[in-house]
Amino acid sequence: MELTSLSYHRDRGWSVPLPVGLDSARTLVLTFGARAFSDHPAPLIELAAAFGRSVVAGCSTAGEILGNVVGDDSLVVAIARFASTDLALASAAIPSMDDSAVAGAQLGRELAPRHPRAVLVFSAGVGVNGSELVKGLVSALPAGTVVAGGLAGDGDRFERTWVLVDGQPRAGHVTAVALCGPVDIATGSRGGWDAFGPERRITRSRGNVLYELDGKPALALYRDYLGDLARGLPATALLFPLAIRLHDDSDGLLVRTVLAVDEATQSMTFAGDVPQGVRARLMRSNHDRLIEGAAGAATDAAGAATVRRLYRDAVSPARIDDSPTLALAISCVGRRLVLGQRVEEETEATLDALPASTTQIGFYSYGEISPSGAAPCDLHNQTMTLTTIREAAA
Amino acid sequence: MKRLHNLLARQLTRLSLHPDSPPAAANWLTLLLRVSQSYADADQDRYLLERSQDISSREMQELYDVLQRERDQLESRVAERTAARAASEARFRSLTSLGSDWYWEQDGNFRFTSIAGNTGLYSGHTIEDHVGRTRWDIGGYEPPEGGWAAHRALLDAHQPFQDLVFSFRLADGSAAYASVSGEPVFAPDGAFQGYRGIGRDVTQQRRAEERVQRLARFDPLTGLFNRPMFFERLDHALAVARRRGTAVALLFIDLDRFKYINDTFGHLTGDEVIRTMAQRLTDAVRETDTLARLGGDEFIVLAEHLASAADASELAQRLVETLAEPVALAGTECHLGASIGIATFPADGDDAATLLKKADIAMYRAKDAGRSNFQFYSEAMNQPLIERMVLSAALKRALDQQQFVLLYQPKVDVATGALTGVEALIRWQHPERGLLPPDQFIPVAEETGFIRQIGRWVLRTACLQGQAWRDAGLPPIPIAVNLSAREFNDERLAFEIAQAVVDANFDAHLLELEITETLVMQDPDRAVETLGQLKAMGVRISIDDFGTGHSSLARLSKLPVDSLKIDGALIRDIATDPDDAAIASAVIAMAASLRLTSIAECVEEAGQLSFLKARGCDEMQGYLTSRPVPAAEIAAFVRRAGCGRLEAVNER
Repeated sequence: MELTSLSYHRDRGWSVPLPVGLDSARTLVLTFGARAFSDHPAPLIELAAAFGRSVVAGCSTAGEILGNVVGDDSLVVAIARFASTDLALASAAIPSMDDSAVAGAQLGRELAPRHPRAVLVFSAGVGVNGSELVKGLVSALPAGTVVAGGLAGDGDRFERTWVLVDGQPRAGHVTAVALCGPVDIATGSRGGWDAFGPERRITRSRGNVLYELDGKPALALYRDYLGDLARGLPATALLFPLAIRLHDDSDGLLVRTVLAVDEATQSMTFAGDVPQGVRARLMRSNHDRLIEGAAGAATDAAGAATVRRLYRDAVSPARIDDSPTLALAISCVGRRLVLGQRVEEETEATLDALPASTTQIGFYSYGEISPSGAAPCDLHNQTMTLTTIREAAA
Repeated sequence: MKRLHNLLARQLTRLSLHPDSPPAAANWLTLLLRVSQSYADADQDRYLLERSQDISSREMQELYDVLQRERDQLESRVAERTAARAASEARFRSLTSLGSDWYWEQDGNFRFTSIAGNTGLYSGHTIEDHVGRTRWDIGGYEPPEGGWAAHRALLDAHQPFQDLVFSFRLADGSAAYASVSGEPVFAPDGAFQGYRGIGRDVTQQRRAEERVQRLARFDPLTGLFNRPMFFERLDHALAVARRRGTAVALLFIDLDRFKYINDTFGHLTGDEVIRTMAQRLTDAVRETDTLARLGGDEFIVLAEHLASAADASELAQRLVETLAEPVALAGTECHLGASIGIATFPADGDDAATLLKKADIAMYRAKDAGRSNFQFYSEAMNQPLIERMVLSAALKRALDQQQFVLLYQPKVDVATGALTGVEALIRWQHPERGLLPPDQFIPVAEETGFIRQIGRWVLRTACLQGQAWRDAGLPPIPIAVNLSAREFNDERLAFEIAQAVVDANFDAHLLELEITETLVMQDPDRAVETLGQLKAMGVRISIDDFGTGHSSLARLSKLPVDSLKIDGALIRDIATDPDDAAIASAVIAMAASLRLTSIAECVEEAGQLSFLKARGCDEMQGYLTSRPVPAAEIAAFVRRAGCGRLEAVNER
């Protein structure tokens, strides 16, 4: 496949002229950018117009990733022309949070007949129950389909996001790209957060809205831990994701990120379900652990590719070859908050772990979608999620 | 060159600065700001970290404190429960060890799982015997009332039971009784788990009850059936006899002279006698007869399977004879005997009460007939009894309504035939039955004591009549009045007589009292005293029915009497029977030698008169001379026969 990337800044315009020559039916154009572009959609429209035959998908961010650079107020674009992989695009509206699963299922039903190897999904980041959306999508797709993607971001404002639908930035929508053909997809998703303190029980919640932990208002607990930083709610709540244990007797933890708080109801809205009755702990991280996590995720994504190649070609040695790799890096807004100015260390770390010919593009999201080990695809939070896409040699 | 912190390196790179060349002013500020921001970020990081640690620690500590508190509470609750449980167990042990009861438990199959408390009561039955077995599988348990089936049905229905008495054999063969109560036990979910309950030894109570039962049916002294038991048997026997049309006899047995024995020898001896007689009766009755002691000295025999009245006679005779055998008491031999009355079903009655009453009447008849014999009931026996009651009432009425009347029988001088006096004889002018002689009502009057009132009336009437004759111009006629035992023994006799005489203004010397020889000899000393009193008033005394008693001549000579009336029985055959003639002669002679007037009673034939004349009897009385007649006729007699007595009277 052919692969290139570029960016757009409002004061500078495109970094390079749009490579319209790459436009084809088998071209995938991914673009991620600041929320502001929904108000100033000119570059998006231009892009979509220039790549009329291609599948153009993308969403707003809490920070754009291109290579090892993390930027704001920009658009990043990656263009991949596949040799023998077909693409399909589907979109669905999510009128309200309760419609998340239905919307996901709708997408899945549309794409399933194509028998995709992988589905990349980009969803609105607010007004969505990410875990329900993923459940719905996965249920409608054939088992074994790799699903990766993320929830659009809105900086640290948590107000409104956009997703490209028919070349337009739209709020309250979800879009998915099916990759059908001989592509190698590998994923890695790591956190680097540690649960600390006492295990609590969610005593009152509804869906992805948490009211009480151990009979006391959850918001009060967060305020306590945040101290002076409580002023920065809801953004600062990202500093303490919640680790929930779905089953009392298992060790598997799901990490959940706060997306919104409501003073009136003393409630906190998370990116995914926080079921009543399950145990939960606060998590915190530090810089090194996060970077380590990011590197680990990349290693996973790269390693998997190696393993797959092994199985396909028993004769050739395990060696990462040099064919172009598109690495979709979707990290979490919460990590950005912790890493602060050092955020690019994680994008550097990932790139370091990936093959030399990797083009890394991605964004800081309000929720990452990816398989996790042997578990089916799910919504993750506070992770660095990498999806490597390469076309197998014919 | 010194390696810069990669953040700083980055910051320089971002600003396109190089460590070797100092930045432009604008960049310098920006760099400084970014570096400053890094420090601030680091501070915040540390702040958050430390804060997280503090709050977490505090939370952990709070949790720990809560856990500690809860654990303490739990421990103290456990300690309380343990203590309470220990106390409860101790109480339970106390209960079971102090009492005579035991506590038992069974599993869902009714097999014993434990027994606690007083378990060593029954020899031959141990806890080991019981555990693991059901009650009916343990040897030695008799079925309870209602049988095992009924009890097991109750257990299957998981019902409680109370005071069920089980009996079982002990090692020594005697019977023991236990009263057991039990209730079903259920788990919290309602599943049936078994039974538990208590047991109590009730052997003593049972035995006592049996004793009471026996006492209720048997006479404690003799071991014979008692009254209630007998009557049960009697009712049953009558029912059977009714159905089969057979006869049944009741023999009512009353020991003779038992009161005398009891009074003389004491109650203990009396009891011995009763026991002896009971044994004799037991030996004498047939197997099919039912013997009972009614109480006191009364026994009764129910004789079924009688072929005829002869059988009953034979039985009665046998009983009379065996009871007549002497009894050895305190070194002497005493003869008691028994009077037996017999009533039969259906002849004499068809219910127990009637038969018993008639047997009783018959028994009294037997006593009357001289004791140590038996009598069959007959309707005739019944008459006097009824009549007695009727009579008694009638007598009172008779007195009130002046139905009594005095007749007078003349006594005449044997030699001259002149009137020497009259004997006043009471008659009852009964409205329905006509004129009744004294033997028809005097005995009843004696029994009831009404004789006093009658006697008083006779005295008054006689005195009044005597005086009336005087007033009528007749010469003084002595009147003789019979005294009954009651009157004679009455302390007020002298007073009564004095009163009658005075009230009638009658001359006491003309009043004669006739007292039977038997009566006088009952208590001769007292008689002497009484007679002395009477004589002192001037009244004359005559010994009536002389010759029938056992007077000694010595006593007779001491009595202040005036005349002897020779008993009619002696006079009857003087003309034909030499023995009677001899006795009569002797009496006449004795009277003469004691200077007593001799009077012969019941002279009815001329032959008797001749004899009397020949022997020198002074006076006579009888039908030969005159029947008893009303007062009016005496006047005529006087005129006819003259009145010769007076002179004799005046001479004394």
